[in-house]
Amino acid sequence: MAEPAVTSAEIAARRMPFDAACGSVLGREHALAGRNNQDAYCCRQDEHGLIAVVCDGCSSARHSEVGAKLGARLLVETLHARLPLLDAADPAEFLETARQDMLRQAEALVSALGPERVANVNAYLLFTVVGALISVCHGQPPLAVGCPCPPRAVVFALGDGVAFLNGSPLDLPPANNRPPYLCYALIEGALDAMRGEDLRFRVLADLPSANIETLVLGSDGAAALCGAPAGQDAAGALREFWTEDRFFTNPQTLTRRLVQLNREVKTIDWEARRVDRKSGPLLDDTTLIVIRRRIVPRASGPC
Amino acid sequence: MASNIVNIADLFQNAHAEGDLSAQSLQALTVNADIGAQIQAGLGVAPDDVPASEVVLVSMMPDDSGSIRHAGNAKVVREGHNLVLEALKASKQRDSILAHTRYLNGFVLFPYRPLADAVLMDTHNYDPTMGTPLYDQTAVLLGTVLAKTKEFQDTGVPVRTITLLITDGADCHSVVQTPKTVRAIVEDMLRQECHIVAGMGIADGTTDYRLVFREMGIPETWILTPGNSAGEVRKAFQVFSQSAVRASQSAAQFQQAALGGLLN
Repeated sequence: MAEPAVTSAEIAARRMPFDAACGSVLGREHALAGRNNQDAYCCRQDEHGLIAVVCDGCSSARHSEVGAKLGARLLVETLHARLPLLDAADPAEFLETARQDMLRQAEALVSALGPERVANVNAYLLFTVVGALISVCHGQPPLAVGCPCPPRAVVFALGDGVAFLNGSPLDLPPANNRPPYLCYALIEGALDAMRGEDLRFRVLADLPSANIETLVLGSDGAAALCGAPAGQDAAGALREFWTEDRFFTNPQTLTRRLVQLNREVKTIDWEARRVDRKSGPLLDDTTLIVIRRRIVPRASGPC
Repeated sequence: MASNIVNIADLFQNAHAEGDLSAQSLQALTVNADIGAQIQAGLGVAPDDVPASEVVLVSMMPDDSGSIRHAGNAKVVREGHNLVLEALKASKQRDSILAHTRYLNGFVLFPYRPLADAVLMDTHNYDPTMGTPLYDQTAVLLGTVLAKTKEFQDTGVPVRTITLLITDGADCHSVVQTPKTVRAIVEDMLRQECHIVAGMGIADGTTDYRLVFREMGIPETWILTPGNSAGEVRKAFQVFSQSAVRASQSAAQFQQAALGGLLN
């Protein structure tokens, strides 16, 4: 019998030593207000590496899910085009070039939306970003040890969110409900309230890809799953997402788990004729991308 | 592949505690250990092994009583069952549909599984020579539907279900359940607004199937009463398959179908 055809995407996935799981759930407050999920995520992996981006649309904007979804996709594609250059680049400069590319694309979009430029940016294009780039080595296994440009991983953010590297939290500044949004750079005067560097991607971690075991990127809603109740570490309830295999074998499982965590549990005390309701902990939209080093070792191949 | 050993009693107790199952239904579905074992046999694939964002459970209970054979309807029942599966396989939502078939006398042709793996009825696996324990096995099948629904809901997956009961005679072999206990289960299911239960009564010349199914709580609009000819039975299966395909398309279509009944 002939071997089934292997697609280029499958070959690329086999080369990557990481698995990724993604999921998102509508926050309880948004559900009660009849709003939709304003988070978005995009994750792409191929022979060059893995790019993952979580975007969180501004809650007070009318249609910020539009910008979040477009932004996540545009940013991943923009970064993907430049990913082969990452290993030899300064990460801040690399990200700044990508940000300028992003802004050019956003500018074209805003121009096409009509004359109410500020209103359109505020309505559609305000979103925060938490993302990661992980490159892979293209040399043969002996080269990987002493490679002059070892494969590299960069975690970055613009605005608030959640990031855990190898189980430890990365430092994202609290936004105090007023995060710097990428597309503020398209509005004259918006910069008056904040410094120019506030609108640049901030590098949260820059390390060899080989040093990554687990990486979690999340919107700020995921903070409700962190925290440290007695006996737990800072990752709290997030830990299950990289320790349980099921999240990496079924692409729906992470979203299902978030839905399960956030569902209202209703208990009826039939004798007392009373209904007790316990709501889920996720008030805000919550989105996670979980990246984990593949557990089954590959027989051969680079890195 | 995930393990799928489920504590049926716990599932139903939780459903009762959350108000989805009345005390009467809980009693009917936990009346003895045997019913739990029968339900377990139909659960099939574990939720973690289903890569769909929402799930439609399609369950069928073809009559395998001797009267089907005597009336010469075995072939058309086989074809009708297979027609429903083929129609669902051709639908856009086929990847989110899980099917399960249990005969009226308890034989599980296949537990819940993707449509691609569903077993078609043929002369080797369907030889109708048995009795008509309509109420007992309806309770088992609906209990399986409820247990599977709860299992998916508990893992955060929205579920809709469509169930078809097929008989060519009134109950004459049930020993545990009654129309009243089955009715309690059906009414609980309909209250959840994510279940459709349909009944097909193939004419035997004496039974008033509309009365039988109404007593079991099945809405009038989801009752089929074909005559005892191959053509009429085939047409009834076609009507059900079209209705099932429509109901499986989306939550909105399901609600419309549940309220509107069978497509004519």
